[in-house]
Amino acid sequence: MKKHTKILSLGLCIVFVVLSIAISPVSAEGDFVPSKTGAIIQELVADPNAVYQDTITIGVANDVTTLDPQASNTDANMMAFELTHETLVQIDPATGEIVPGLAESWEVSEDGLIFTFALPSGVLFTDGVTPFTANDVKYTYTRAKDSSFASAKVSDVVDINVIDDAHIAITLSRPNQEFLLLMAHKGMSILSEALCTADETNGPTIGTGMFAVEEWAPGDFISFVRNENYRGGKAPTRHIVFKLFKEASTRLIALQAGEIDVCIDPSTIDLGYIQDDSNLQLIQTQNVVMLYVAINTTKPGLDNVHIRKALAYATDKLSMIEVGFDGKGTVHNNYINVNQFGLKKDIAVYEYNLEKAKEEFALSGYKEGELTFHVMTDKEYKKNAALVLQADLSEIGINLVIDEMETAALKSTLNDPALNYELCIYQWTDADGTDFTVRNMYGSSMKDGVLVKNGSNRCVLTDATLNGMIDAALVEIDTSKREQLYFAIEDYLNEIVPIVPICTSYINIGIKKDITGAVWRPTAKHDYRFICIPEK
Amino acid sequence: MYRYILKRLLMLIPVLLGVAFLIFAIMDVAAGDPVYSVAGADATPEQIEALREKMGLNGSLIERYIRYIGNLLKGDLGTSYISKLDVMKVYLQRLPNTLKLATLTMIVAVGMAIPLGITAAVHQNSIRDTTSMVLALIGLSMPNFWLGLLLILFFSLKLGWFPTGGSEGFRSIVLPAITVGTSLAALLTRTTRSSMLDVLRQDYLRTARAKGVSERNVIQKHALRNALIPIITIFGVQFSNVLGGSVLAETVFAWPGVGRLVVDAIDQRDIPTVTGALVMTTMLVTIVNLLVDLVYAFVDPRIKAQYTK
Repeated sequence: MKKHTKILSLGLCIVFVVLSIAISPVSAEGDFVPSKTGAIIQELVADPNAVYQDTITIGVANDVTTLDPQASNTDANMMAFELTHETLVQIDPATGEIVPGLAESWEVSEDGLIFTFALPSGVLFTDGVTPFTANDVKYTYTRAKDSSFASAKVSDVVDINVIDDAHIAITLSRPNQEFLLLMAHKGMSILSEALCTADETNGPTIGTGMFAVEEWAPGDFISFVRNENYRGGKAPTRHIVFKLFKEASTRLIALQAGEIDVCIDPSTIDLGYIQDDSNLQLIQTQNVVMLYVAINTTKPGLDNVHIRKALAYATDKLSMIEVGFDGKGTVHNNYINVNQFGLKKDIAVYEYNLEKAKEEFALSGYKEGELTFHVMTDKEYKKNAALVLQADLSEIGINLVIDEMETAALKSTLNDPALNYELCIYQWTDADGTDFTVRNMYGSSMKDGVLVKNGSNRCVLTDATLNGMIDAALVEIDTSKREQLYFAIEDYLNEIVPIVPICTSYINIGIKKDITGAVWRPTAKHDYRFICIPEK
Repeated sequence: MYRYILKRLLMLIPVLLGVAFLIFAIMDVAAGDPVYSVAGADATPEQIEALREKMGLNGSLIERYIRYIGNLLKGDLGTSYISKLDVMKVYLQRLPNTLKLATLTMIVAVGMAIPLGITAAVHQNSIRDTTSMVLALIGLSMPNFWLGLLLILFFSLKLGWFPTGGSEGFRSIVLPAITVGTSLAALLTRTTRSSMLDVLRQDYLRTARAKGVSERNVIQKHALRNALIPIITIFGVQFSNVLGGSVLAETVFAWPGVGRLVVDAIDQRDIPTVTGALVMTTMLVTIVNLLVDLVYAFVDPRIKAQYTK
């Protein structure tokens, strides 16, 4: 009897293991790996015998505009670079920790100033002939210093020393606890010196990634073909295509009709069609697109902290979510992004309260009707948010004029040193490095003896005290102390109100139920390297 | 006749120069400096200046215009600020799609409009006339994007006959052509009807009938031919418009045509692409207008006689 029980137990175990293996390659119902970063991870269980659909077509709303990683930072381009290029290190979407990328390992000197990376040998770029060496890393980072999109990430780099073909040492001007995070950004993708110098246009499009660009028809599609020689093993899918559908309804119908396998960003009013379709699955996660009112703190009226506090109290975030995102959003009260290190969850909140807004307005010394501000917007949901703000500000005696602009015109107005704007409904989409966020959004740098705002500092703050706090947090090695320093920064910002945070929304993606292997990131920069549909 | 054609072709030069200047001037006064929209937020003043020079935005409007025209004469439309691709190459990549869509759209429009218009005119005030005019009114009133989505829902999703979008193969052009063609057919139907009604009242048709010419021949050979001039005029205008791009239909059907190229470029302040695509479209439209004028001569000998004077 005992013997039979043992055999039965063993048999059951075998059956269980076999069933687990059979079922585990990410079931249609979505076998998601838990994540600290807010990403939804469809883990692909390695199965050498599995056969996968040859091509995955992803219906996208925005076109790829360049294949040079240092020439842009849009989501659409970043997703292409994720396929074609590699960075020295990368962020584990499950833990948020830095893990090896192209580099096999790294060491940091005791003073935190020198990062030495060990590089693999025998790696080829996807042209199939050009070898990767440490010189390519040096070339890439040196080139980044001249790029208006990548230069901020290497601003602390003072020396790059190629030790040998497989080792490179990078020296920083100061300890930087987020240096590796910056190096994980796709803008720091490693390029080939030989290919780039030979062909300035096409050279940067070739990386060491799991895929290579196969065909690019701007405004129509871009297709990628699997790198058969990838050192870590081949990707499960041979071809990945980004197909442009500007119209959200058509994009969704294409998914329903089976013409595409993934529909990025379907219209929120159409999500029910995905949920009702047994062949489809809705992926939904809170995004890290932090919508906020940028306040140009140098403009008359807005340089008064009471006016800024009045704006904060008069901002009806829930109504803005209602009119902008059909109610599908989360109120945001912090000055850094969701999921970022140092986010102070118990920050004092400027709740929507017109009476308090009136009190702050009275303290400002201005009279009712005396102030008229212009707010720039570029998208329908932002315009709707501005309309809500306009109605509330009129209640406290401030006139608001809404200037609708095209995105490019709005961006150029924001980036123009003339800083000829007052308010802007804008967004912050980076959620990796807290230093990168606070330094760019609120920091300033000394130039010719004068503090000049940093690139994405839309509130035009030039505050030496704040800069000191940001610098102190960057070099602090003790994690809990560092966290406290960021809490203090958030409290400081909450007192001076350089922006009014509004909300974050949701990322919606419709996929075929059989899809697995993808990482759906809250930044909307999804990772398709392992996306696949197992053949039945 | 040849002198007339030559004269019209020479007129193309000032037209192109004027169009290029207008686009330059409009883009120059539009809000925002393109350099700042292309450069990242972290661009330094030195990087901005280097970029300005690289983008050819240094110098006054006139200087830039003269430089552009110099390059245009060499067939160089410049490089896109955004994709860094050659504008001529990008335009020529999109042009076949636009030509295909424009041609099939006009075939659909004419195929619907001429029979409906003739029927309405020949049977004036009858149920057939009313039906034709109601159909024309519906075609005129229906927004392109709405009709497009309806067609996609029915023919792509429900029946699976045609793809929802893209430009792969003949099947993908059918729905956009029907969508755009339907709205164009509406105006063309009304024009055909009113033009035919004018002609049908003429004495020479009565004479033809009195001579025993069959009603079919009266309509086809005598009436329609004489009614064609206004129809050709409207056809030419509509064909020119479609060549400029049917932005809504191109967006709904993910059709990579010239219209969307221009609209996207305007949105991105990509001046070389906007200017290049519009200059090329102007050239095409001028040629279409010339062809329309030549067709007038073919249809009506009196006009041909004027050309040869």
